[in-house]
Amino acid sequence: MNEHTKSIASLTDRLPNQHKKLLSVYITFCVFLIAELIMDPLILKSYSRMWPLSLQFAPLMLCAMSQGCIMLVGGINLSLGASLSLATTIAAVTMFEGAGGTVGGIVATLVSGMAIGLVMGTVVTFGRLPDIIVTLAFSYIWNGAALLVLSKPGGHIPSAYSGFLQSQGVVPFAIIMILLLLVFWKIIKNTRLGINIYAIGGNAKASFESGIHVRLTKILAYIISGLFMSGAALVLVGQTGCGDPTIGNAYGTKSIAAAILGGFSFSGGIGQMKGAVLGAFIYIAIENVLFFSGFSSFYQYIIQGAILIAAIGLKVVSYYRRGGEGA
Amino acid sequence: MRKITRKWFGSMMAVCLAASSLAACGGSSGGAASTTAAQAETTTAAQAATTAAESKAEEEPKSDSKEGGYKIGWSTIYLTPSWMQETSGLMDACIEKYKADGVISEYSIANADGDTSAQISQIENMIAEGYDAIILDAGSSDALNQVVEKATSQGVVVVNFDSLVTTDKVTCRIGTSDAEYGRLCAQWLVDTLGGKGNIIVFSGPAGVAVSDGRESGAMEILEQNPDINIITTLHSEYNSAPAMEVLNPVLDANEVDGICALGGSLASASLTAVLDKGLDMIPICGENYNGFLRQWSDLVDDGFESFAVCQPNWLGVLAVEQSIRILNGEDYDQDVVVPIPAIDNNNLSEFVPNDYSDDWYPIADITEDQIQKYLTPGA
Repeated sequence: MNEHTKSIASLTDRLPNQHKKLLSVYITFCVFLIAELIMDPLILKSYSRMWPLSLQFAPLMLCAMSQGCIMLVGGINLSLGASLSLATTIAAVTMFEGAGGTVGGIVATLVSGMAIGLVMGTVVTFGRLPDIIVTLAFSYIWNGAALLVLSKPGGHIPSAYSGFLQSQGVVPFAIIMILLLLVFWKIIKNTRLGINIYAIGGNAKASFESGIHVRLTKILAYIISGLFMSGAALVLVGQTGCGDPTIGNAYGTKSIAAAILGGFSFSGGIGQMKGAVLGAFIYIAIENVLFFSGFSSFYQYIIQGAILIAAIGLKVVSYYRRGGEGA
Repeated sequence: MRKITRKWFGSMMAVCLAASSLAACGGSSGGAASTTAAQAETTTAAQAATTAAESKAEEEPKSDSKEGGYKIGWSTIYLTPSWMQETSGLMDACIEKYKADGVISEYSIANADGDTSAQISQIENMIAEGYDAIILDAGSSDALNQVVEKATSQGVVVVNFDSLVTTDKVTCRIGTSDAEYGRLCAQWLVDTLGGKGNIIVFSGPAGVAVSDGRESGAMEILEQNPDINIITTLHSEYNSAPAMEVLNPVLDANEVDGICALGGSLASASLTAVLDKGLDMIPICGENYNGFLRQWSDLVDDGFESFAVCQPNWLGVLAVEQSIRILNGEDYDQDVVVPIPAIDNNNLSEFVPNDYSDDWYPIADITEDQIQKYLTPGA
C-alpha cells in the first residue's frame, strides 16, 4: 500500500463511523449539487430561487424519510403514494381560513398520517403478514379513501398557508420543517425506541429473544413513518393549493429509490435519515440536471434509469465486498 | 482493514466518476446554452446566412433573428399516448415553421408522465429559465393553478389547451366543450332514430370532469325528446374490456334501438358486443379512434350508421399560434372554445382507409382560415 492510499485510509478512519457509512452518499450528493448549480446557475444569482426549489425537493425528502423508517424495520411501504394522496385530500377538507382553521387542518393531517401508519403497522404485526403484501393491499384502500374524500382535485387550502410556505423569509419553511424532523428523528434514535428500531430491522428474532417488544416497536416505526408522510402532504398542498386524489402516485416508487440512494437497505436495520434526505436530493437533482440539459424526454428516462442503476449498483457492490457490514 | 478500505474507496471513486462524467456531458451540452438553444442558434444562423446572401445585408438579419426569437416550452402531463404523439408531431411542424422564420429561437418539451407535482416543478424550472411562453396540457384542473398564477404574475405567457386549469389568471385557454360533445352525440342519435326508441347511455367513469360534462350534455338533449326511452345509464372506464363487461348483461336483457356511447373505446366495445351477439345493426355514436373508424367502414354495407366526434389534435397548433400572437402584443380572447369536428357516414371515406395504426386519431388538418377564425377575438 502506497503513501496516497494510506493517507486516505487514515482520513476515513478519522471520520465518525456514521459519516463513514454515508461517504458514498456524500460524494454522489456533492457531484449532483455541483451539476445542479452548473445547470441552473440562477440559484447562485438569485436567492429567491431557493423557495421554489425547496418546495420541489421537500416532498420527496419527507417521503424518503417515511420510506426509510419502514425499511429500517425490514419492511417496504408500497402504499406511500396512495396514502400521500389521501393525506392531501384530508388536508384540503380539514383546513379552514384563519389561524385556528389552518392549525386545526395541519394537526388533523398529521394525526391522520399517524393513524394510517398505526393501521398498517397493526395489520403487519398482528396479522403476521409480509409488509409488501399488506402495504400493496392498503395502497388500494388509501386510493379509494382519497377518492371518497375528494373525487377530483379541489378542497380548500387557505391562501395564507400556501403564501406562508412560499413567502420569502430567511430560510424556506420547507427546509426548516425537514431540519426539525431530522432533529426529532435524532432524538428518537437515541432513545430505547430508536435503538430497538435498528435492532429489530437487523435481526427480529434475536431482538425478541433479548427482550425487545418487536411488535410495538414495528407499529411505532409505522406511526413515525406516517407522520413524515403527512409532512410531505402538507408541503404538497401548500404548493398546489388544493387536495388531489392522485397527486401522490409518483412518490411511491420514487421514495424507495431515494431511500436506497440515501443508503437504506432492503434487509433492514441499515440507513440514516440524513441519508434519505440526501438521496431524495440526488434523485431530483438527476431529474433537474437532465431537464436543463435539454435532452428529449425519452432519452431522459433512459439516462435517469442508467444513473440510478450505476449509483445504487456500486453501493451494493461495495457493501458485499465488505462482507455486508453496514452500507 | 486496509485492503477493504482501498476497495471501498475504489468503488466510491467509480460512483463519483460515473456521476461526474454525466455532469460533464450535461455541462458541455448545457451550461450557458442548452442543446436545443445551440441547435436553434445553428438553424437561425444558417437562415440568417441565406437571407444575408439574398439581401446582401451582412449583419442585420442575423442580430434581428437572434434578438426577436421567443423561447417557448410545452409542459405536458403525458407524451406517450398516441393522441399526444400526434399532437406533438403537429406542434413540431408548426414550431419548425416559426423557427425557420426566426420567430421562435428555442422550443422544448417537458413531459411529466402523469405526475402532477413533477409538472409543477417543470413549470417552475421553465419560469426560472426565462421562457417567454409556456404551453400547457394540464395534469390536474386545480393543482397547477398556483404555479400558473406565479408564471403569469412574472410576465410569462401561459397558453393552456386540451386539459384545462381553472384559474382565471391563466393567459389563455383553448379547448372544446365536454357538454357540446355530449349534445352532438345525443342529437345525432335522436335524429337517426327519428326521435323514438329505447337507448342506452354509455358514459365514462363517474366523478370525472370529462365524463360528467359529456353525460350532462347528452342528457340535456335526450330529456327534450320524450319518445326516447333511456333503458339505463352505464359507467365504465375508457377501456374496451371493462366496457364490454357492463354492457353485455344490459344488451342481453333488453331490446336496444341505439347506443349513445360517449367515448371512443366505449363505442368500439359497444359495436363489438352487438356483433358478437349477432344482433341487428343499431346506430352507435363514437369517436375518431382509428380502430373504430375501420370497424365502421367495414360495416357500412351492412347498414351500420355512426357518428364520430373528435378532440382535435391541432388544439396544440392553435396554442402555439396563440402564444405567438400574444407575445407579439395582438388582441386575444382568454377562453377559446373550438367547435368539435365530426365524422359521419357521408364523409367517413375521407378518413378511412388510411395507413395509420388502430390507435391513431385521424383528423382533417387545420387550415389557415380556421386558425384565423378561432383565434380572432370576439369570434
